[in-house]
Amino acid sequence: MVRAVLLVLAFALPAWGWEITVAFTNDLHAYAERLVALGPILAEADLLLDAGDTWEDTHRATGEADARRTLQAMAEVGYHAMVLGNHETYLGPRLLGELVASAPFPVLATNLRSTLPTQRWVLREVRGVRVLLLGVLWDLALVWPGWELRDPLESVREALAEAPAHDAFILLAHLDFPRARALAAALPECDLIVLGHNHRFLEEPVWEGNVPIVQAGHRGEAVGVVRLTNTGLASYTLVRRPAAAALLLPAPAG
Amino acid sequence: MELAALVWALGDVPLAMAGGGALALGPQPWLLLPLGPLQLFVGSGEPRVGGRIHVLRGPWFAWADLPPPRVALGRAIGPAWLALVRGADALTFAWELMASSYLSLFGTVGDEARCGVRLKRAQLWAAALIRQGGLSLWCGLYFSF
Repeated sequence: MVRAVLLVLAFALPAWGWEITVAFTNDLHAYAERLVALGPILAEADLLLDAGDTWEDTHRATGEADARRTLQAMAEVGYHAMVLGNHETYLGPRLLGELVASAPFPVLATNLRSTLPTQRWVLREVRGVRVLLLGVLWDLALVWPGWELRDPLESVREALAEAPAHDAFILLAHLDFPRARALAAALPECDLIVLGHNHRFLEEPVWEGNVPIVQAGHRGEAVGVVRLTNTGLASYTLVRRPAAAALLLPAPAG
Repeated sequence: MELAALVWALGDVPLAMAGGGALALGPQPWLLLPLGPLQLFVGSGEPRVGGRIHVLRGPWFAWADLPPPRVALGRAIGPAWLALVRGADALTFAWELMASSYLSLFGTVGDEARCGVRLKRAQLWAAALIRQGGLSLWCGLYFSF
């Protein structure tokens, strides 16, 4: 009997092991052309995410056409989800509402109560792995009339309590670095925080306890590629734009 | 400019940019109804009825009011909403600066200086406006259809 159980376990255990590849951008600031150039690499990932400040660039005083062009480029590359950043709020509720509604992927804003068609959480199955995605924003976000921006940690905890069972939990966060570290410390169950806002080119993940925080610069100058397994972060690579075209993603495990 | 018209036209730049609806209670109550690209203003002061048409709805915002005739161009930048408003006889710079999710400061510079503070919690708001040495208190709610 014991031998039979051990035999079953021996065969069953490898089935629990999983690995997925996550590619991400953050702070694109409406540089749609650069996104197109990075497209072939991004498209190879199992999960393609964006951490906000994507559709507007105040420095260049971009307009509605730039926002729509960037969204179109994201759709063509095949993004799976993004979180609103503070610059998305500068677009105003009417234009932003239209953009979110027309996005062919979910736009997350777990801690924002508004009339925008954003989502609090998304469950996406990738290679048989159920990945829960949440997204929060905070610093410099404009709170328009009728909106309410709620505490990120409190909102994440509420969403986690309501969300379905999952194998991995990725948080898209668009906020200041110290605030992200505090979130990571309070959410040890989080497998990965993809961070936007501070425009840092992180060559290595920043660890807060067991939670890795990653960020890939800004304005399409780099993308981040993460291999996540059932035991956590297996690898993280910051791929800078000039070299991007020559690089291939790590081969996914079977 | 009449107080209600002032608060409608210059005292809530975020509402003007958002194109939403609002009910304001105070010295001269007013109601703002959103009708697609239009906003219909009904107030107890002058003008009793006004209209606003939105030409640009972000990230550049432009709108025109009638009566009195007035055009505005604005942009939301960082924690601020900024607008240049051209009336029949004056150019005014209107601004609102978010100090936190629930608190903002607002004001105008131009034909006459005014400033105020606004508290917001979801749909509800309250504001104090200082103008010509006088203080007026307002409260209300935002809504959309």
